[in-house]
Amino acid sequence: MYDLLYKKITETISVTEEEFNFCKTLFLPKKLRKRQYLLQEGDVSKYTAFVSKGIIRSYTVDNKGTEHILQFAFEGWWIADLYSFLTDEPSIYNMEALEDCELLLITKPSWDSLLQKVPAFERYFRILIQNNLIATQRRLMGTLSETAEEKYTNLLHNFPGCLQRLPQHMIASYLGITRETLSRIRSQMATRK
Amino acid sequence: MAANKTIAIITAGGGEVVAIANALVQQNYRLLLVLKDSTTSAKILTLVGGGAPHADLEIIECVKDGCWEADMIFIDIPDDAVKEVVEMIKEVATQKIVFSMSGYKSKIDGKGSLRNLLPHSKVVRAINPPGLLGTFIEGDDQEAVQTIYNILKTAGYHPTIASQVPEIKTS
Repeated sequence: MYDLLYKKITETISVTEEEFNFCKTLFLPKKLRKRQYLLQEGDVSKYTAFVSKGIIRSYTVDNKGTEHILQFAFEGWWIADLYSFLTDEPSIYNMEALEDCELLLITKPSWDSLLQKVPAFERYFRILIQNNLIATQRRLMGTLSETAEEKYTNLLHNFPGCLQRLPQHMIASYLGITRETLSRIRSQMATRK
Repeated sequence: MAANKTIAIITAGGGEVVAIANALVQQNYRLLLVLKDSTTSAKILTLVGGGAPHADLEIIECVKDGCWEADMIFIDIPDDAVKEVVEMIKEVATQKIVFSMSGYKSKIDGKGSLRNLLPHSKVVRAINPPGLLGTFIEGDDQEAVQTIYNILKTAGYHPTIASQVPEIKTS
């Protein structure tokens, strides 16, 4: 249950067995079935989640009822609404399991306790947040300046295997394009091969 | 709209389980009744959810899977089964509220108590102090105690938080 978490953590920092055992006592293991929610709009995001198995998507719904996908979190990824998690304010996002999922959840008090008692985790989460900031900036720049085809190519590069696991309409929503545009790009790319 | 919380109830099928399960489904909790005996399961399914046709209720045989999926765990089993159940769930019960419904009937205390067997869970138990009538609940994590208090109260019980009653000495 904790093998992937250990692998991901030790890719970035060194922790002793004792430190990792302490870390394990702070997580709440949770299984979600496909289409169940980890978070719904209006709730406070009480947890940061590590995805051990499955995929979670976070999305918002605009006033026309259209969904906008912000993030997919695959195995080995973390997902949270950091604003809600850190401020205790209600979230504007929904987080839904796209497959049966196994998650490791940590609350803010447990997270604080982990950072305080094992300072190496300060470094781990700092790097994680740094990487998240870079990814967010890249995604923003991509949205502003890339063509639909460039966005799609980047998606395939950043999420290898996503085509097999994500429905077309969700990929289109994540890229901010229509299903028809996505379909056209895919046929054009297939013709060029 | 809040995401529905899932409660796993590990039960042998007797006692208060039907009443409490009915009360929980009315509160829109998703219920996983962890039961190994299929005859009892079928009987309970007919008794629970009658007043709530869209009750989200499922019988599950695997104790570990049921508790892994749950946000909270309610335990209503005899003393002699507790240790075996704890062995199965301890890895997936960390940081979860574990409510010992039959705590007041339990003779297990000290080292063998649920609180000691599940040190990383938020154990709340029902107690029945000598000379006092009613449902009393106690636990180390005050937020967990309050959560159980709210659930029981909404379910129509009249719980009292033991630490708020000076006459009660809890271990």
